[in-house]
Amino acid sequence: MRLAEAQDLFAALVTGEGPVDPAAREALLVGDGELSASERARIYSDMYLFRLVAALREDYPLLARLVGDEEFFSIGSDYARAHPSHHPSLARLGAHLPAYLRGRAGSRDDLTDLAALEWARAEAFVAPDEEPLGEDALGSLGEDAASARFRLVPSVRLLSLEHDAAALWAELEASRAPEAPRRSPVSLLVWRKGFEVFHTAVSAEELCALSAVQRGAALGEACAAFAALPDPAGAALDAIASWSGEGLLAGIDR
Amino acid sequence: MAFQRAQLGHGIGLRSKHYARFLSERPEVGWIEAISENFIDVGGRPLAVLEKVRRDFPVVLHGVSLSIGSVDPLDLRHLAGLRALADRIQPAYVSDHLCWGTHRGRYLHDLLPLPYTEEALEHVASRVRQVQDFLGRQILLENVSTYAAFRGSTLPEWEFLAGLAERADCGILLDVNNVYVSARNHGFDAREYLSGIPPDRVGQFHLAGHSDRGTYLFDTHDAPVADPVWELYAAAVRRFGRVSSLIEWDDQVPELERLVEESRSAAAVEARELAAQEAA
Repeated sequence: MRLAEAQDLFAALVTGEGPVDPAAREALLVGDGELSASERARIYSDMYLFRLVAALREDYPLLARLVGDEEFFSIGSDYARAHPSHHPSLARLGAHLPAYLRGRAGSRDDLTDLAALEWARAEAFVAPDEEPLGEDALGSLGEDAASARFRLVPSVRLLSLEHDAAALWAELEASRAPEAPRRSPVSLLVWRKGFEVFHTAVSAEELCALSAVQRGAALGEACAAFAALPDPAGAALDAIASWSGEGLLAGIDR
Repeated sequence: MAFQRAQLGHGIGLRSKHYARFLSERPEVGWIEAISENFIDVGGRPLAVLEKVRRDFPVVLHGVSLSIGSVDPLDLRHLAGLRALADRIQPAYVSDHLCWGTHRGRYLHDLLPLPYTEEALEHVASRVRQVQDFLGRQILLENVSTYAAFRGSTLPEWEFLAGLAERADCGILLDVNNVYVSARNHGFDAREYLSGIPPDRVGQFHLAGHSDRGTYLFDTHDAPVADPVWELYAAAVRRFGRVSSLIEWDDQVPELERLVEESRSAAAVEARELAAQEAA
């Protein structure tokens, strides 16, 4: 049997996807008095899902705590079958889990949003380093501020969620029993300062402005997000000062 | 062609549980092994820890996703990331496993066994040469624990590994625990395995714990090195001489002190065996 054919068959045995003719399995693998060919293949197939779900648990510890071991294994194994890994690092396996949960019936309606927050925090934790601007950087903006473009530090993640995942996250972190899910749209900003990851609720207008900045919009265009507020200029200045103070700004391009 | 063995002493793996300790202190070990995939294209605390560790110790980059035996094309993006990391860290070695783990573009995230055939040997040797050319350095390949063997195999694993090292001009990372586990699982003689490995190709040893699951041994890395593995390690020191060793402990990871203690045990076995050889 050629190497390519052997790997096709072995991969089918490992993943459990696609039927494998028992005769082909016996022709592929050696069995003996201790373990049959089928039992030896089973060692690998059992490990396969166990390892993938364990990796997902690393990135979604609070989701796992919320739903319990049995439902998490069910979620994780269904997800792993639906979204095979195409990245060499197991830490990237869970990238599509929040979107996957949106289309899957679960024990609660807010699982997608909790997963989105956990994934954003996991990404922020290992995002590439870039030194934030000093507090005096804004002073150099001058009259051409509206045409300046801010560059955000690479860890910034922006979430627009249907449920207050930050409150749920806090309950689970504190090992308190969470309340029943209730629809309560929230905008969250996630970022890393030093080695520590933070998240905080921001207004829908600020999230919109940050999204525009992240897309590369000029500051004037980004701040149009505040136009409907009673004091648009004040709101924009407060937001920009906060971005600078929290270390969200990595550069200013003019 | 030749392989140059680096003398690093006795080391331990870098695990996230100990990141804070590594940032603030310097444990008494000879060197540190880091899992390459955990540090490619990342920043933040993991990278800061690795850079601090590199300032304090020699570092080996040990990969799990090279998939050197797969019939899939090599993942050049992954290799570029590995090359960038190696340029940054300047490791003593870059190593991975003699196995395959990708299939039709998909990562299976396992160290799957190869059939030991002439076709597979030529295939893997060709890919090792490609990888070494790409990285601009020799790599070490590690024997894995296996639970299944192919009917089509025509070579024992040790002949395959030895032949590969010669054909591809690469080094061997001899995992002593894996030799023991596979020997038990397939009924071959672990000491015959050692005898089939050319000493001048061995750059490093791995030592780890395993679990006995009744009908087979499983490579769990969640326990101290078992007594029969220490005995096999002593035999390996007698055959291969002074070789850098590493304690692998990946699950139920103990406190740093316990890992350091296990690494000292390896140093003691090595010292005992080398002294006995000298005396003889």
